[in-house]
Amino acid sequence: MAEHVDPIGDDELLYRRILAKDTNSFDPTRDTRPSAKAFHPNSRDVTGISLSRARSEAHPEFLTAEQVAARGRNPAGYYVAVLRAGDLRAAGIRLEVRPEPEDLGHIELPDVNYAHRKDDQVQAWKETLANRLTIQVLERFPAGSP
Amino acid sequence: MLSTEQTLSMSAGMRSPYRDASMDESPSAASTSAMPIASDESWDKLLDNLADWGRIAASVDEDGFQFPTREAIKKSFQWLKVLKNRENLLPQRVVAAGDGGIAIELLTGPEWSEILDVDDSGQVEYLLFENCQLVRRHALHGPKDDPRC
Repeated sequence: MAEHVDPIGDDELLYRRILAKDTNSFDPTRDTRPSAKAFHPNSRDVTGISLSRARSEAHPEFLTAEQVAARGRNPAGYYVAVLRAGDLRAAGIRLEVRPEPEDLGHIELPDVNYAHRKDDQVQAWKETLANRLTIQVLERFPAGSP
Repeated sequence: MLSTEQTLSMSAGMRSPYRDASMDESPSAASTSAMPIASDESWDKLLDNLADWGRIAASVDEDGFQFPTREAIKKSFQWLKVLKNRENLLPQRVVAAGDGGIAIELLTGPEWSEILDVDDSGQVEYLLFENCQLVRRHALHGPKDDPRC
């Protein structure tokens, strides 16, 4: 499958998986916003945390929120945070297109990576992503194939 | 390094939105989504959560998410006891960071966030954000260093 290298439009919506259970990163009964830790890089995020470009009329090849959740493998399932690409750019957060065979809309935030996860700037970006740039958090979706 | 008392009282002219909110004096209160509710049941829930993490400490899930280490859990437990006994201010959220650490989110929101960040080795930092910008950050002593504990 050919790589999709379309530049990311400012109006494009982006999805970020949030583990649904046991982490407390998001509790819809207490808060409409996720924790900044929902954007904290783990040891596999060497080149940056992952997001996915949302399926749209212009990009039917990209995944739906449910499909993005289904790419996760934790059986507890996932919430999905929705953000807008232009908002991230306006906040100084770089986006890089990194298509994968099963997610052509896969992107990474290269500066929000594991090695720099404790940097002042990364701490501030995580706060911004959670408290200012998350438009909404979608319902809990199951992991596995939708 | 500062004690809990020094940190939360912000004696150097800095404020503690977490403490202000509990006194219902904070202009940031309206922007925060949850106020501390210091019932025993609420505290028990937080502490039970730490105990649950203890049963899967430092395990890594299918996506590389590492649950809190024993060191992080132990230190978080100590700090929660300090917060309960001294302030009776319930943190807004206690979150597994995904790298073995724990964030004790005293208060979070678009205007103010105040966090005790416990890393996987049990080291603790205090972080204060104003409008999502980091305005204060420093290491904290362990609660055992505090004479009131």
